[in-house]
Amino acid sequence: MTTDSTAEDFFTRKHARLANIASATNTFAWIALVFQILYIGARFLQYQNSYTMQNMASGFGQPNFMEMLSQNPLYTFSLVVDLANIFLRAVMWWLALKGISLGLYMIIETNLNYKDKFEGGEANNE
Amino acid sequence: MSNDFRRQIYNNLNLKETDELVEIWQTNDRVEWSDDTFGIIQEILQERLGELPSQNEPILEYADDNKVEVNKDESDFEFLIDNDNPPEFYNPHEVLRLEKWINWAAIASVVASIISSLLELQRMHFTVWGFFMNNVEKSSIAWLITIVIFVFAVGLQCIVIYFPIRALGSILKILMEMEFNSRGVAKTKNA
Repeated sequence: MTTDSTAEDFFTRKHARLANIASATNTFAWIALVFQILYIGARFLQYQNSYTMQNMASGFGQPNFMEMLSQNPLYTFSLVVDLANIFLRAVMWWLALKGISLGLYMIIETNLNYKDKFEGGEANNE
Repeated sequence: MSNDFRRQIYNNLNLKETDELVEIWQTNDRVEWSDDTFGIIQEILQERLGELPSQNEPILEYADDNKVEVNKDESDFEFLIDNDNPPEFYNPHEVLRLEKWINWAAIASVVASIISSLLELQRMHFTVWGFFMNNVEKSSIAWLITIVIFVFAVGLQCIVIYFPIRALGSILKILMEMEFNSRGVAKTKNA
């Protein structure tokens, strides 16, 4: 009982709250990464559908989407840049959220280290 | 130096072990530590030891080799990571890895930003040219204005993207350094 209470005094509710936020941020980092990567696929399909719709409107005899990409390097390049931008954004979100999570954990660790030193110092003085 | 600031430094230094303070005192590195800090260390050592240990000649500037060494040490945390006494809440190797990735991502973001803006250059030219009623003779002026706007816009965009990302990396390193200091890791490794 005494040990529990001492541990609770040392690792306070504020520390626990910060640790929970850090843990949630870490989880959100992965969720954001997965969603953004899925969005890359969705974006590609969007390009493909939009081309198919245009083809249907303008008549038959047009090449399919993949053939069109191989025949239009500039269009392909802009498509790749667009998708790469989404991927990069995903990576940036992941890095930022992971960084925030690690930063919060380091703040907790630093605070507990100082607390430990202060309390150790006070105990020695007593 | 204000009293609050002095007290804060005093409290921080007072947390250090006597051996560590003696080492700082004897090394007498006036480049790394200010005169005020030495005054505080003197005060603490007198309280703890009664008398002051002897000091080396003050180091007022580093030789070039030393400067490189210090910068290398500051930027390289690998040698400070104590695998026998790791922090409980995070992995220092992960922080270093993330910091490296953040730096790469900052550069990649700038490159991506420039490339995607270049793809919009033609459209931007048409917009600017539109203000000249698509006059063929004014096309070159429109291009000039477009390029000036492009350089400013992309420059600003790069600054807005690059610096916050680099700041995040630096903040992580600073936080890790603070955490190391709070554990006294540097002292252990130097000893």
